[in-house]
Amino acid sequence: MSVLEPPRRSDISPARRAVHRFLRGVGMLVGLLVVLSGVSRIAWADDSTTDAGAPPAPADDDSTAKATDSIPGSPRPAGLGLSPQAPPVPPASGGRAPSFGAPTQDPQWSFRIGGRIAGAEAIGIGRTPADAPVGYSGTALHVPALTQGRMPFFPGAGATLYFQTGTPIVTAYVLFYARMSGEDYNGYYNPQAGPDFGQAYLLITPAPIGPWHLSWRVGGFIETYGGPGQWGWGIFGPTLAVRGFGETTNADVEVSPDLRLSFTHGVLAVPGVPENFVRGDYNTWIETGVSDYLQHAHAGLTYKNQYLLRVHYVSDHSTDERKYLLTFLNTAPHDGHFDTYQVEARWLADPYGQFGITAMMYDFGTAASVGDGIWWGLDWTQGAREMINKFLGPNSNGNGKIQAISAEYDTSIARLLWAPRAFDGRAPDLRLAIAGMEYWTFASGDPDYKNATGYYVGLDTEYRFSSLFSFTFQAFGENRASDIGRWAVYSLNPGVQFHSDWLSTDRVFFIYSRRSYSSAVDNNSAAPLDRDVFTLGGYFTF
Amino acid sequence: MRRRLAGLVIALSVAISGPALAQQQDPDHSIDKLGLDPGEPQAPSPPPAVPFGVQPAQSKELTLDFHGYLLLPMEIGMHDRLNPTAGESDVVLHTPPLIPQYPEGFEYTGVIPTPWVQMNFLYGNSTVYATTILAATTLGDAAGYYNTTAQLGVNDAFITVNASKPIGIPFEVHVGAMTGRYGAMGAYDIGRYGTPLIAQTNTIGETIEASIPLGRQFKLMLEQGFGGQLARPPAGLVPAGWNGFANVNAGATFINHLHAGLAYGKNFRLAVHYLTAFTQDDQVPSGLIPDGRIVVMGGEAHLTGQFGHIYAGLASTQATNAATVSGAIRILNAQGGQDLMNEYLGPNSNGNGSLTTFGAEYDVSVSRMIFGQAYTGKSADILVSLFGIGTEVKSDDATFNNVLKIKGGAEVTYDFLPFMGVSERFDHVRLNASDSRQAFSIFSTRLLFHTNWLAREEIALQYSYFEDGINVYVRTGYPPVIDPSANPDADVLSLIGTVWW
Repeated sequence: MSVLEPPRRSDISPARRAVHRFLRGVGMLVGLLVVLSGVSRIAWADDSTTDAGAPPAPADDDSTAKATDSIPGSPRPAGLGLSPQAPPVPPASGGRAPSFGAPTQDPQWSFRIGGRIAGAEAIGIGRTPADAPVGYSGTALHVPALTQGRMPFFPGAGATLYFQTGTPIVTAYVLFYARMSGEDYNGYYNPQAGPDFGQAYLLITPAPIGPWHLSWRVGGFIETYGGPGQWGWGIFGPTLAVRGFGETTNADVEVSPDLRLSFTHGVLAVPGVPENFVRGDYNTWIETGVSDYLQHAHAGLTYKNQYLLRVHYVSDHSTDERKYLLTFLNTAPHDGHFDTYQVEARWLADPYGQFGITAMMYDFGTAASVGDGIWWGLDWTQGAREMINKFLGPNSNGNGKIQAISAEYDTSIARLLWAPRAFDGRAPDLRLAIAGMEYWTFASGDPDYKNATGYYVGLDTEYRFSSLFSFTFQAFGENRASDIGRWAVYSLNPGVQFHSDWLSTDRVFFIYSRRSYSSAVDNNSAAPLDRDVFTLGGYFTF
Repeated sequence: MRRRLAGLVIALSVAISGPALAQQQDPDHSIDKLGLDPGEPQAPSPPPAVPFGVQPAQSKELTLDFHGYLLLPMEIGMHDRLNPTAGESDVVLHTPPLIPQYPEGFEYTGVIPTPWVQMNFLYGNSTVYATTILAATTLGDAAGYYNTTAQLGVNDAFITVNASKPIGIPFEVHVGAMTGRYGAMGAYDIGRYGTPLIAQTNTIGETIEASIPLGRQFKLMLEQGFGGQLARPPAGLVPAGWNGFANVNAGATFINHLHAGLAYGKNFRLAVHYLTAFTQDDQVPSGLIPDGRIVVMGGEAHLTGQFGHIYAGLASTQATNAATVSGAIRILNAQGGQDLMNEYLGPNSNGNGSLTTFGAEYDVSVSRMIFGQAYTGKSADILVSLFGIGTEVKSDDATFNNVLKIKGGAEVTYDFLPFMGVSERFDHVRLNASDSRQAFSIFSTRLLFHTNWLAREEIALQYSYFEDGINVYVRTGYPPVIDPSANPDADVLSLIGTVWW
């Protein structure tokens, strides 16, 4: 009996209809083959089990025997309902994986918790506004500080907890955030500050296959690439971060004792937000009506653990089907893409330090319809929208190209002086990191931004003169084009830090920041930006 | 004056001798506090409670346990663009897909799952333990932040007291905020359609479970529960996304439920259930509302043997003025009376009507069937599942009266390597059994990857094809509403990662 009226054939092209039929046919054929081949396979498999020396379990002639496994047919414990511990989800696809709480014979999983707790209270010393009312006196204090440009610390307060559980082969990761949005501290107005689940994924790391080491990450996560710093992200951070739900496959191969090659490929999708969702402060004015699809590929070469060369490619694609909203540039919805190509090189020149350099090109095509699957671009700029606003211009229609180069040099003076003896960090030291980044918008639909240039410079030093204290000095500069003039911010940031030991991961710091702005930046005389900022903060990583 | 001086001397001598005595023992580096420790909960603790902040190492019996579950799908829906313009491709991509799979509707099959993350923290001993469950239906970094209710926070918190030893029979009491799910069609889960057949409770209250042996093989199981909501949406609240479009016209709802079952060994179980959810509230903004009630009676049977696991269940849901009953009770994933009206009884029913629901699931392992307990799951296997749910609606809304909704499907999985298997699933859903235009089918082909036979994690690469009847509509927008103008996705590509521990 035909149970269906014909579907909306007008919506489906003949070619796709043929593809559908073919795929359905393949699916049914696979199912048939599965059934036909299964019995013989089972018989063979059972023999193989015996051959492997694993004695078969004794027959269950006792109906009260304990449940031994999750296979349909195994005795199961009695109960009137599902445990309140169990998740409200159907079984895993195919019904093969044991459901939550079912008896399993997995080896014990180990658990680890790590995290980072940080907080900084930055108080900006305000200046008298141009339209100060009669009787206005005193000095305004701003929390958070009223500033622009890079700060010498991560502002705000919060905690990140990393939960890991698993075996050497499979590990589950969950990242849980809280950014002190509790009403006890600053009132409750920003729910996106958490607490919330930020990332969760599975990492499968099978045993090496000869010289090949494979891993597969599946879930929802952020991955970063391209930072020229030696430790962490460096002063100006990664030049590329991707996010979404999906997978990343990684393969490493040891070609020789000195040479290792790495290959990574991933596919990610960022769910869209309904078009009629009303944006607002609490959701950071999230883009609506678009969803992103990313494909990213990377290849790397490491020679003698001293020379690294990596290439990165990401294509962020979006098919925009908004019905009534325009893009943020007030243009009609459109298919769009935001791609990037990057080359990264590093030289670990012990004892002289580390030098890293990354060259990159960002390519935008009607990218106002693209979301933020590329989570960070240049200078931690988030997604296509912010990259366009910052580097391509409001009249670009989302079209343009940017090229940039970012470099960083990190060194330890004590390591230099101690050489050829090893320096393990437990003595006075002067750490030095110097970085610079320059970009050029060599194509843009906005004539004001075409051929625009800009640069970023940074210096980060720490003099550890005892196991408990350090002096720090940071300096940052940013100078780039904008549609209201040169956007320039410079700051000098001396400070002092307390730590519990030479190599401890805890810090309590006090930093003074002296800042200067161009008129394009400090452009509101009614609310002048703070030029003096005092910060007391700390962090602990575990 | 002399008395005061004597008192001062005594006090000083005590004060001096105290520290001196302490110094003779271990040096104490603890800092005396002038206030409470910052870690002290900002809620009064019921006496006698273990002081918060005592290290687990100081207590030999109390331990911390950690469990969790991750369901992390990437889903891409595809359809042909109707009128592509220059620069637009023929194929449109959607995530989440535009498909008839509203999680709270009958149409939901669970084939295209939505994200679910939870972490269970348990602390206690064999007599008493506390459970706190953090959960979310999204990930902030991966999906952006806009739907505040997707981050569920502390979703459940309850205390379990095991009084089996003093009472002499298995006896447990749960007190707190927790869910109860009755009519779970799978052996260890709620079944292929991701919904308990009979009912789900979401309350703060108690459940008491007892098991009474009747001879060597038989066992009588009893369960009682009562609970309600901690709060109701206050009058004046404007339904919006940030509050999950709360139904301010729902009254404070309470549920009383009783369950009884008879088990034979671990192979057979017969159970009957009775739940009544009711509201008698006078605080709703629309003025006085009639008392609302949803009564569910059901029966179910599980049979397990070498032939597999068979489930069959039947439930009768009677709704009276149910629009005012809140989401403390869920029927077939419909949350409370308002959803019951939206999905089954109709907008003009005033919440009056009934559902007669039936369902069955059969799961079998071909290897277990052939080789019995000699098969331990560590070799190839074929898993076959047949499943279906139907519900007949009687309603005061003539449009929705006498509607039979049915869905059924089959799944075959061939696990042929320790790390790989293939699976094929077919689902057919009829939102009105007598109208094939309101029917759709889903064909799903999968590759399954895992780290070992019976490993708890799985990564599934799945292609699904939707064949929709002409009157099958998808929901769009915020909140999602039926959108006849939307062009549904015919093809959905999914990459689904799951693991629990």
